[in-house]
Amino acid sequence: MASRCESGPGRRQFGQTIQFVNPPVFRGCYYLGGTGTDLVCGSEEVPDWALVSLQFDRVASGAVESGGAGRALARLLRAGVRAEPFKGKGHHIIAKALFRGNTTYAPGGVETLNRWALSLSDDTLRAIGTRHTILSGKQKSNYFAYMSEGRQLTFQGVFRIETKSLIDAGVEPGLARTIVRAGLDDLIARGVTAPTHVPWTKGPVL
Amino acid sequence: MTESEGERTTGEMFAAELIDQVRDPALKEGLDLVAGKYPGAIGAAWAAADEAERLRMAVSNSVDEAIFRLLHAIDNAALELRWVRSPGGEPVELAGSSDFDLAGEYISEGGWRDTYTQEPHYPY
Repeated sequence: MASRCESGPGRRQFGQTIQFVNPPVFRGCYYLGGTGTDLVCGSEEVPDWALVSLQFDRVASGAVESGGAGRALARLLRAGVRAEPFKGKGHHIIAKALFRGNTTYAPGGVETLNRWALSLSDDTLRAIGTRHTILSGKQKSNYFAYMSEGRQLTFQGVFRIETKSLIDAGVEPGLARTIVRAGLDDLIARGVTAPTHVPWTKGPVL
Repeated sequence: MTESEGERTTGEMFAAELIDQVRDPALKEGLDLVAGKYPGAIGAAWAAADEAERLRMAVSNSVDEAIFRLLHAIDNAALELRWVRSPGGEPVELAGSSDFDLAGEYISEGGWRDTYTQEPHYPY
């Protein structure tokens, strides 16, 4: 079903954010995807295939339009990588276990965050040269190795671990960095300030 | 899950979710591997293997892929399953019951598969 853009008059281009009168899922902020896609807000209907990602209401207020996740996701789209909010399938770009036990993030707590955090589908993983099973295995190994060195886990550490995991799993290094940056920027735009749990360990972040 | 939703019974709804979350994606991955559609190191390993080795890879990979998909669905509460450790015992929620993701724990180097299997397997 097509939706009408309400972001105000003017042309919106590939990777920019748009809002809708009748959003397909809920009121929020969507990114426009698809190579070469653009539309004239206020007049054209937007097909579902053009919608790539969406944010919480607080992001739709404009915080992302000025940068952060919007820019990161636009870079991702230009690199040919389609990321979407997790809808029960796919690979979370940033391990969801990082936020286990935290109930302050996002409306509905961490489980809501998990559902909306950016993920990559099987087809996208294949397109960038890897598979879900390989990537999950590398994530665990790299989190374990990082923490075994006694280092505190920060977002900087998460960036290193997740990027290395993608590279180890077969993804080109530059693309891996772009993907992880987009995933982290997306979380930060939702109000996430730090990891609270170290994946595949029994402990919280030190 | 309610006993029925529309025309579908609980069993039918479970079956549909199981196939959507586990069977179909696992099979698709296996078929794509066999078709040589994987790039990079995965595709290279497949291309370099002889016929007998490819058969072993495909069978082993299909089993691991299906288990991984099941555990991933549990991790993400797409399939909320409980496990009874011993007959008559209390059922334990699998999702969130541990400090790790089940799927990653299974498939990773040194994980459950490496630790407990008696059969050969492949790291891809």
